[in-house]
This record gives sequence, C-alpha cells and structure tokens, in this order.
Amino acid sequence: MKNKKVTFLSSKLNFLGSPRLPLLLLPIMMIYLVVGTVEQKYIGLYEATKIYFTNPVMWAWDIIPLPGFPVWVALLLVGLLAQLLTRSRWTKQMMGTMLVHIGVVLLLGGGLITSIFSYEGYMPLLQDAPPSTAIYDYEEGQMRVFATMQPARQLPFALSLEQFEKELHAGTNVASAYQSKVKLHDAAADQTWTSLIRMNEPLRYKGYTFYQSSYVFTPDGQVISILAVVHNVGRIFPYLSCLIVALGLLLHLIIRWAGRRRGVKV
Amino acid sequence: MIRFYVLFFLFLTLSFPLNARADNVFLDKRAFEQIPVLHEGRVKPVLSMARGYLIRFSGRDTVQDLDSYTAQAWLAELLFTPEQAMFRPVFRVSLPTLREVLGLERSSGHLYHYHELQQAFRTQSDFLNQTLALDSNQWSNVQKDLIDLHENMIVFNQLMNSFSLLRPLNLSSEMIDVLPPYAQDWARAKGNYLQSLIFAERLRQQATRLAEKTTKAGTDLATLSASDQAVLSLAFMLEEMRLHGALNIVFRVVPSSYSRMAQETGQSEFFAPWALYEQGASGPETAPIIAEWAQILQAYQNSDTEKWQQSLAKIRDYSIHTNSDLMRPYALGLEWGYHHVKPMELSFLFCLLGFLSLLIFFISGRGDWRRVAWISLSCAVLVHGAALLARVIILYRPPISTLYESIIFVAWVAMAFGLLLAWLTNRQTQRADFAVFAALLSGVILNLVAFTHTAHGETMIVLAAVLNSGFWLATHVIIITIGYALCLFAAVLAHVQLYQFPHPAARKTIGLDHMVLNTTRLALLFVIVGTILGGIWADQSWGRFWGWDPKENGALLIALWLVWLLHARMTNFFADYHIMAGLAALNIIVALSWFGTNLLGVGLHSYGFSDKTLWSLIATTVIEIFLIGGLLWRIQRHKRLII
Repeated sequence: MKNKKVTFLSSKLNFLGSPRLPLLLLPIMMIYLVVGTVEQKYIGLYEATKIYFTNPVMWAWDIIPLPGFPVWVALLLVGLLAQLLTRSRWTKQMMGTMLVHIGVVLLLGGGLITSIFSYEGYMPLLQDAPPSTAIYDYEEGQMRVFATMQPARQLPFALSLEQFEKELHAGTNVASAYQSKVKLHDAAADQTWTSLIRMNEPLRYKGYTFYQSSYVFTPDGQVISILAVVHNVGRIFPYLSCLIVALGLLLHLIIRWAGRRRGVKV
Repeated sequence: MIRFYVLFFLFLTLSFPLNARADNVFLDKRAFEQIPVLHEGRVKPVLSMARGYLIRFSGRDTVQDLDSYTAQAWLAELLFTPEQAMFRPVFRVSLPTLREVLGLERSSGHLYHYHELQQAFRTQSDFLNQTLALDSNQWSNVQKDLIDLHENMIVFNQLMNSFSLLRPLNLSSEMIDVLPPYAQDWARAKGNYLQSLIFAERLRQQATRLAEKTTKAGTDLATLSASDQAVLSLAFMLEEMRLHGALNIVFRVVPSSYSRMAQETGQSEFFAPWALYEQGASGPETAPIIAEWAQILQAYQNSDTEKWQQSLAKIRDYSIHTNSDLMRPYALGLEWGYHHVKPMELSFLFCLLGFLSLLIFFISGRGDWRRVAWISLSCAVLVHGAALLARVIILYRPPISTLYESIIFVAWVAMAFGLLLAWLTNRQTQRADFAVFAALLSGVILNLVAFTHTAHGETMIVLAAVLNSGFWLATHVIIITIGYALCLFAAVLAHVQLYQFPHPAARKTIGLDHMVLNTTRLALLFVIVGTILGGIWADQSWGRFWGWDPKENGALLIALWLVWLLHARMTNFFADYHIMAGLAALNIIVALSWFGTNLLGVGLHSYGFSDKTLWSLIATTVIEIFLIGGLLWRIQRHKRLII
C-alpha cells in the first residue's frame, strides 16, 4: 500500500477501511442500542424501534436531526467493503478475519435487501369460512382482527382454515402447542390440498411463508387462527452469514493460538 | 500431605449430614416422598411438590417450629392432620406495609400461620376485593404481595382439604340418634363423605321434599321434627362439602383411565381425590387406591408405621405402572435423588473450599493447598455437570429455559472452561492457577446468584408453547449462554490482569494476556453465532429474523462491545490496560443484557422480574465501576512513581 500512488479516492477508501472507522461507529451504535432498548419500556417496542433503529433520520428532542441507525449501519457496511477491497492483505494470517468480515457484509447486505424488498403481514382465518386471499398490514406493530378492515394485498392463491387445535400441558392452562390445518386453493395450478401449520413448521408456497402466530376467539366462541405471512427475498443471507462468521472466527482463533505456540507475535 | 486429603474428605462427609434433619413425626417419610403426583404439567415425586410449595410460601425448605420440619413432613401433616398444620408458621409476609395492612404482629422471620392470616384477611376483605377489581398491571407492591399471599393461601386450603372426603364426619350423638336408618349405621361407624355417596341420592331427595314442604307451608324450620332437621342439616353439610371439593384439583395423585379424555387418548389422566368423583373418573381400578389413601390417613393419625408403609407402597406401585407418557419411573427416582443430594449446594461448597484453599496457597505458597483447590474445582465441575444432566433427563427438554437454569448453566460452563484451560496450559505455571482461580470465583458468585433465584419454589418447570420447539431453540440458547459464561470468565481474568499490571515483569512471566484475549475471541464466536442463530430461530418460528427485542439487543450489545475492544487493541488507540479495563467491564455489559433486559418487561424473552433484581443489578454495576476504577487508579499511580 505504501508504494502505491495515493490518489484522493484511495485515501478516502483507506480511511473508511481502517479499523479506526468501527472504533468510532461502534460506540455510537451501542448508545443507540441502549437508549432505544430502554425507551421500549416507556414508548413501546414498535415506536422505539421506529425512532431508534429503522428511521434513517433520528430527531433528537424533535428539533435536531441526527443520522439514524441505518445510516451508521450503512457506513459500517461501506467501511467493511473498503477494508476488503483496499486494505486487506490476502494472507494466510488474515484469512479468519477476512472470512468474518465477508460474513458480516453478507449479514448487513442481506438485512438491507430484506428491509427493502420483503413484505410482512398477517392473515386471520375463521374456521370453516370460505377461502381467503387477503393479507393485512401490521398496525402499530400489532395484529388486529376487525370485520371492517381492508386487506393490504392479495395472495396469488387462497387459504381456508379446516381445523384449529390447541394442546395444553397436562393439568394446566399453559398451551404446549397450537396448530392450524389449512386448505390451500391454487386456481392457477388448478389444485387444492391440505397442510398443517404449527410452531416451527410453517407452510412455504410460491415465495410466501405462513407461520402459526396466535389465535383469538370471536364473541360467539368461534376460533380465528392468525397466521403471519412473510415474503422475504433475503432469507438465505443470515444462514450463509452465520456459517461464514462462525468459520472465520474459528479459523482466526486457531491461527492466533497456533501463532502463539510458534512464538509469532500476534 | 495426607492431612490435607483427610481434611478434604472430612469436608465432603460433613456436607452430607446437613441434609438430614430430624422430623418429630416418627413415620418414614421416604415412602411418602416418592409417590408420583401430577403437578404443574408434569409427574414428579411428592417431595418436589412439597419443597416447591414450602419454598414458595415461606422462602425456605424447612419449617422452623418447635422442631425442624422437612418439607415432606410438613406436606404430610397438611394433608392428613390439617388441624395441626394450620398453626405452623409457613407464610412469609416480608413487606412491612402489608404486615401493617393485615394488622400482623411481629414474628420471627416474618412467618405467620394460616389461621391468623385467615383472621386477618377477614378484616381486610374490602381491600382484597378492591385489588381484585383492578387490572393486575395497576397493582402496587403491597397489592401484588397481597394477591400472592392470597393465592398461596388458596393452594394451602386446597391441599388441606385434599382428603376431606375420606375424613370421618364428626356428628353429635343427638343428631345420629334421630337420623334415618340408612344414614344411622354410616354415622355410627364414623363414616366419611365418600361412604355417604351410597345414600346421597336418597338423602337429597328426602331433603328436597322437606325443603319444599317447609317453603310451601311457610313453616319455621324449628317446627320440624328432630329427625327432619337432622336430615336437612346432614344434606346441607354434605352438599357444602361437595361444592367445596368440586374446586379441589391441586393434589393430582390418582391416575385414572376412566375419564373421557383418557378413553379418547388411551392414556391415563391424573386426578385429585375430589376431582376423581366430581368429574366422573372413578372406576374399579381407582376404588382400591382411594381405599388405600383412607388407610394412609388413618395410619398417619394413629402413627401406624406398618400400615403406612404398606399402603404407600401399593399406591406407588399402581401409579408407576400407569399407562401415560408423563410417567417415567427412572426420572421420578432421579428427581427424588436430586432433592436429597442437593447438587447445587454441593457445587457451591466445593467452589468455596477450592477458592479459599487457592487464596491460602497464594499467601503461603504451600503446594498442598493448590492441589486441594484443583481437586475441589474438578469435583464441583463433576457434581454440577451431573446435576445439569439429571435436570435434562428429568424434564425431558433442553437444559435452559428459565433465568435460574441459565445461571446454573453459565456457572458450569465458566467452571468447566476454567478447568479445561488450566489443564491445557502448562499445569505447573501460575497461568493455570489463575484459570482455576477465575473458575472458582465464577462458581462461587454464580452459585450464590442462583440461590437467590430459587425463591419461587419449584425450579423444574415445563415450557410455554413458544419455547417448546426443539432444535433451533436449544442450539441458540445453549450457544448464547456459553457466550455469556466465557465473557464472565474473561472478565474475571481481566480483573486479575489489571491487578498484576503494576508489575510488568510478573505479568510477562505469567502471560495471562493471551489467555484473556483468546477467551474473549472464543466468547465473541459464541455470542455472534448464538445471536444469529436466535435470528434464524425467530425466522423459522414466526418469519422475522430480527425484531429489536430487548434480549436480542442485549446480545448484540455484548457482540459490539467485544468487537469494539478487539479493534481498539488492533489500532493501539488505547493503552493495554484500558483494553483490560474494558474486558473487565464485560461483567456489567453481560449483567445488563442478561438480567437488565428482563426489567424492561417487554418482548418475548422477559422471564421474571423483581425489584430485587433491579437493586442487585445497580449494586453490581456500582461495585464493578469502583473496582475497575480503583485498579486503574492503582496503575496510574504506579506509573507516576516509576517516572
């Protein structure tokens, strides 16, 4: 790096890619994290999350605009990319670190893709009602079930609830599991079949995933099963990232340990 | 040399008799303790239930009355001679304001008996009703404790009346003389509610007719004949008992295959004696079992050891062969043993012994003390690990789901990791000793913290639906908890290192720096992987990877703190001892994200909250800040002196 002609761009990249950037960014992010978490107690999880974690601009005392959490994350992402492109030495010694950084880039990048392209909603299904295609948006982070609600979007296929079941722990009122038996009607494929949705066993079809979320009772005692609906393009990234970061950290640790055994200063 | 081992094993043997306490009832409680009972979602030995309730009521596992009473002896008394148990002081009212409200006088340990509390509640029924009318999140501390106390008393009352259907009714001889013939024999033979069921329908019909007659005629009850009056009052008495008994469902000790659900599922259901009859679940198999319970009741009252043991053995034999997935005899035996060995107390004692021995070694330099410390740590790791394994077998689920379980797991990981590290490095070095030191200190502190989290009574509980989901949850929770443990271990070592800092020569020869840093790196690995796995679990379960839940944020905070420190070290922006101070402060960060996030009372992960937690958290933070600050000040002063 020293022998290279220092251009304006590469000097900027050089700063962005240096470990001094996270040194600056991480404390800021930690402050946001602590304040935003504590605020959840006072203004609720949904409101606090919006203000401290997802809005690109944060208004301090309603008048001073500060960069929001996503801005700091984006900066960190840029820094990581710069580090990977300009500063990293692709040596055996640095292999672990490199892998970790690639993993974190994937995680943050995946988060970015998810936050832009994914869609989350929910679907209340009344037992034995006609098939429904309606998905509703969360309101203030909550799922609400009212007869007068307007659906936010339509599924390309329809679902109906055949049966809802709740299991209790023996001799208590604590639910041990609940599940919905649903019927899927796909007019385009001219097919109908039943499927079981329960905790940790969602139904996945045509890019949509349906999770058993909760249930409510109507005033006349009928059960409404509520399914969370997610259409997430970036689903694979956390899985990849987890694997790569784990591998990277393990490698890093082994390299450090081995290096010390051999007496290399690390 | 031998002296030390003798001392060591003397300590071992001494720690066992602590568990053996004399009961003033001579009946063998062992037979009673092992009876399987369905309680809070799983089948457990009566001993667990007794301990759970007694600790919940009184905050301790024995009754301090004239004599020391074990939990199982107390429960037996409560079930079989409630008129005595009513006067045992087992309810702790720790809030002074609540004592004032209830008009309770001073008593040792703030313990009160059922009877006096019942009186006190009678005078304060308005306050209780007002409280019950309010929404539970509007309750003040006094009201919360009042409701807790009230609920405990309801449970006590249920237990007290569990066998009231088998207890002879005390009717006056004047009344017996005028009863109709079908009831008279019963009354003379000191019959109980259950035996009255034979003529219950007849009695009820007769009483109804009498009641109708009197209402129609408008006559005063006093004008009825003595015989008619006796019929009415007996019918009324039995009906009262039935109504009261219909709500009695706590002591589910009779498995039955006759209930509707049992018929549907093909698995026996467990009933409390009253519920067995009220819910129509009795049958040819359960009748002899109820008869055996009646024998036990009598045997207890007459101190008839032989009958007591025989009947209990029969009941246990019948229950154990119940056809139910909830019944696992080996788990029952293991759980019974768990309560007798008290492995967590043993682990704590080992840690304490080891810790003190190591301190003596550091001061005196005698190698025997060092050996005692190493052996103690090994014993603690073994006992503690076996206990965790036993809990998994007993509960039939992954080891961590409550705060208490996370604490004992963290304690074990910290101890085991320290021992492993000590074995892996050159065992003759001081570095290895410091690893043992950190492990023992973590063990002592975390075991103490765990003891303060058993106040709710039963620590072995079933899972809520959201947590009852196998693989991802188990991996996520275990990995993140290992991360916490490694962080705490690194933090303790960092304290030691800060203490060593003014002596650079010693520090270099000991070479603890790398141990701290490598532990930190390993901790980072577990914290990051654990956190991402948590996201994956959330994605699998309800479709969102990250929800900004306090616990998630807490884990992220630890990860960011570690990443920050490791980068800070790389840039040489801070002095080495600042980095060490940062690692020592990991204690605070971990405590905040582990316990602190529960205080917020939001999100999925909040499992248990109390004001005590808040204060201990504040105290921990303040003490840590002073400790680390003091160590840093010491380093600064030393530097100035050298320059």
